[in-house]
Amino acid sequence: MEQKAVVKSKKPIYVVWIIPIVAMAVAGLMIFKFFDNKGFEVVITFDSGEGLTVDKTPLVYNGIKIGQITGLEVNKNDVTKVDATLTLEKKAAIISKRGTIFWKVEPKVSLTEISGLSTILSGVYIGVMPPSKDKIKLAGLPDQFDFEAESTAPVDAFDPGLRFKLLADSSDLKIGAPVMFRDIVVGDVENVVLTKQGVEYSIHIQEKYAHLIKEKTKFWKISGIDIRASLAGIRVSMDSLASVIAGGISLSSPENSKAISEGSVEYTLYEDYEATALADDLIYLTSPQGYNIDEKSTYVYYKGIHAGVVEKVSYHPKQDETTFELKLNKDFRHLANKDAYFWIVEPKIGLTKVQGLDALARGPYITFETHTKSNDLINEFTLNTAPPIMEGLNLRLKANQSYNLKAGVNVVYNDLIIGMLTSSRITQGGDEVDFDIVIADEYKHLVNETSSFYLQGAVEGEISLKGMYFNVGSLSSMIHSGISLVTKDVSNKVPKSTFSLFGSHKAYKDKIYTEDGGAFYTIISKELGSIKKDSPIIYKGIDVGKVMSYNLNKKSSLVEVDIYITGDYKDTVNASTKFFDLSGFEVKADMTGLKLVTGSVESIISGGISYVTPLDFSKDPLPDEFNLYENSDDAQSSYIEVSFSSELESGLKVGSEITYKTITIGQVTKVSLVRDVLRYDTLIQEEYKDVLAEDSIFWIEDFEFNIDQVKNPAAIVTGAFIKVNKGLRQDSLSHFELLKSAPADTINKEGLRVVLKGERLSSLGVGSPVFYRQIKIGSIEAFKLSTDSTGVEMRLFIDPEFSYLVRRNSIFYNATAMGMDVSLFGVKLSTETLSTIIHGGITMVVPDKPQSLAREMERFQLFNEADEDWLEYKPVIVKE
Amino acid sequence: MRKIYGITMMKWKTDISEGRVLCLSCEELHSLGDNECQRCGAEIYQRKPSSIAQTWGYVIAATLFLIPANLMPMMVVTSLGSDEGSTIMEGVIYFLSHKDYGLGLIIFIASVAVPVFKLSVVYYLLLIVHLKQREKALLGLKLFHIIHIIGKWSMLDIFVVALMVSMVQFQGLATIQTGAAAISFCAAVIFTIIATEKFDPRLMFDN
Repeated sequence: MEQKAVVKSKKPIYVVWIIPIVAMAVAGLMIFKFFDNKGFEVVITFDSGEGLTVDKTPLVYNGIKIGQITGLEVNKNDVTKVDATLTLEKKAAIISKRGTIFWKVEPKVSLTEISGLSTILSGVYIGVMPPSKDKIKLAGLPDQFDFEAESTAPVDAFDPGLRFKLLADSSDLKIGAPVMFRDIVVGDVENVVLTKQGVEYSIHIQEKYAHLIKEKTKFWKISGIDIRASLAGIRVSMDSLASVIAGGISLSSPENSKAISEGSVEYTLYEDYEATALADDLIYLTSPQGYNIDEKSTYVYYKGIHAGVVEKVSYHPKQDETTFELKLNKDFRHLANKDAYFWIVEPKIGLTKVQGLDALARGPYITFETHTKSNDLINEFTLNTAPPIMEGLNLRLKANQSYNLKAGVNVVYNDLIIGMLTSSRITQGGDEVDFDIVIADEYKHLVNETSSFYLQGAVEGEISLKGMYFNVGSLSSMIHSGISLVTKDVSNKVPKSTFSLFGSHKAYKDKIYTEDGGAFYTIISKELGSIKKDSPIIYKGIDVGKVMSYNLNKKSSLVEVDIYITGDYKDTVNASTKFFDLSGFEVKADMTGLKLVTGSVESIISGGISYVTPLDFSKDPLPDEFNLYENSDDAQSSYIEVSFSSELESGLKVGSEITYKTITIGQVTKVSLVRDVLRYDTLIQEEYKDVLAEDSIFWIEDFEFNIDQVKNPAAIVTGAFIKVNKGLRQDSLSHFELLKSAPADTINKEGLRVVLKGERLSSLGVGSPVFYRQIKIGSIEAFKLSTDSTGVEMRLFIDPEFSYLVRRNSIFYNATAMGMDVSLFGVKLSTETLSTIIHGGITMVVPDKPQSLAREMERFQLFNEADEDWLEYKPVIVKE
Repeated sequence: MRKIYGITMMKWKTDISEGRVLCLSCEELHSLGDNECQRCGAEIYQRKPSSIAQTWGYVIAATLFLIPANLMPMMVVTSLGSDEGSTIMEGVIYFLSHKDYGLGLIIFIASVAVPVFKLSVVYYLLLIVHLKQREKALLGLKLFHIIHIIGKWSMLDIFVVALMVSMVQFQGLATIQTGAAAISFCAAVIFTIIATEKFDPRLMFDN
């Protein structure tokens, strides 16, 4: 009894053992899968173990991790090296074949390379590249488990594109240097090999840019930063940052050349872009002196144009001679023919001037010229010290000082040298200097009686409010002063042999300013204001002249200003012209914003005069002197004095405007009280004097806000103003009564007017519409209590277009009332139009037999409600 | 008599010795021999049916799952492209080596010590029953209560991983994913709990 247990069934005991069996299977599978994926190990020998971490440093192929370092130890044979044990994932086993390249990817920032920047954050990793792209081919290769790591990433030979060789003299480009086309990197330098001839670069051009490489493509080095300094300026150009660091190659892609197909072609790498344009053959100049000429930086000019460069300078002690080797641009090579004359242009440093600036910047240069177009090209010339002696037209220039001009100074025309100064001497009187110049025969035609000569300084400048003005001469005029020739009319054939020489470009310009056929005028003003000598004369915003002088007339104590209007604009001034002072500001404020009216900035500060000419074809004789008005408004119109009286208090004040159809025609100038009535004195522009008709109506408009409209919102800012409805009569008045509010629009309009007499006004008022078949045909113009006070009399205005509808038997009723029909089917609301509920309105009906036309001011009865019969009327009324 | 501890061949007073049986469903007391509960109608068993066999089954399953749970990575941290899996012990060592003793200890206790302790206790209880070590029964009962109490904390590590996975999801910078160990750890914990549940501690006192 004691030991008797209740045992129902033994079955669950066996079932329960399924759980650990399943658990064993699952856990076993998990462990198996985990360790199975561990793959196998390869050993890679690195020069340095720096950055490698056990269980961390990954093996990355094409950006994905396929293994990691699981062990690091010093190489058994060579203790300077490190063996890294890499555990590859099983699926990547195929990569471990003979020829597979492993290398370490670490951040590298050096003068020639920036790479692996991503590893700064992620840490060093090991890169791998299999010997083949093809999986089947790869599988066929023998397995290998020991590798030597490469020091740098290999050339990605799987990268498609164009490969070819570039030959150069020096190897200042490194592997990885970019090949650029229009600042876009299109390829890179893959390898540099030293050959017998020089250096051979292997270039790889990306596939998508391969078409740029043509048979005539030129390659030149870019150094990243290119600085060229000369007296003409400093030019700094910078290529991409990569090329600044690593250098680079740029290329041209001539359109008319064939694209190359495969990289069997070899190209020459030029030193710079200029070098690509140079002719291949050298020109030798011999000279007893060296002239401080430097290789590669001394240029050769032809007529002031860059034409080549000195490639080499060599001294021969035996002959005591110096030989300069030049290379000329292809475009200039044909000019170095047997008649060519080369000479050196050296800076001359005198006691009176410092001219060494140019020499400091770039030293002397070589120039040449030729008189013939001979095709007999030669390579050997003599370098002369002086320019060739010129023959041509002899002229004499006169000036009152020598300007330090010496023989040899160039005469230039549009920056082209056309002649030179041959001698200068003081005249016998001693107060003038004569200069003899010679103009080359080919430019003789440029000199005639309209010619002027002025001294061309190196840089002549003036900074004023008008802006900066600079007159810069040619390069040679910077070294020596130069003489410039200007000829206004080249076609003029009248010769002249003696000219005066102006001291500067400005002196010349001032002289010729008043010689263009313009006209002088005198303006009188109470005071000068900010007007000065040279203040501009502005017409419609165009600078048309300037103030030449001014003086005070002691008799009249007025200022007389002499102005000059240039020839082109002379005609814009006639008897009707009114000049006004443009100086200062004029501020106009209204609802649309604040408007600042000024002349040019220059005229604000230095003063200015403008003018208007209202009558373009005025034939009146010009007055001796013009008046100067204070501002443009004063100048443009004159005014009529008109006064208004009003018993109402309103927002009108001095300055309030008078408008006619939105145009401002005048202004209130004074507000006063005369016998307890407000009196407004105003000025109205003369051109609008028509509005002062006897029957014109003036009223005050102000901001108004009521249920159905907002009137004159602009008046909130500008204040009340006076508005006018122009009358029709001829006679004019100079005093008007101001109405409190606007009269009906229809006042003073032509049309039919009839009078209605009603019992009361109800909601009707001025402006309430009159309808005929719901078309508006007129409106109430005015109303008043009838003389016997039994009703209201309203004057209707009927639009002339519809006046034929109003017949003597027309019936008028108040359309304001609403009709409401209540029926089984609902409620029907009837009214004329929605707006009549608010505004009120009158409807006119005409019986089926219309009588004759209503007469002017005919009287009608106004019914309060419509009779139903009236709505049935359908008279036929035809407009005549 | 129950308070005396350490006496060999101890004889405990049990429901069997008193001729009673308890309904496992509603805890109604019955006389020995009743097959059906008079109150709730459930079948009456003297002890949990096949308690020892089921406990063995679950405890072995839990033990098996604990092996991959400790060998395989619990979570995989992917930071800046390289992913790194860490097993439970690696995590503990990581925290300890970074002088984060508190955190390291908590993870060690919750993820290593407690599961191992629980399994050991269950094995110990099973041995007490098998070897009829009745004098150890009282100690066994105490241990049984302890593992019942700490049982509710055994998923702590899973919570830590779940929290980390949901919080550290900075695409490209750092993401954390659960490792294969998480699932087997879960399984180990669950099977341990079931094993504890299936064990009937009264068996230790039976003669």
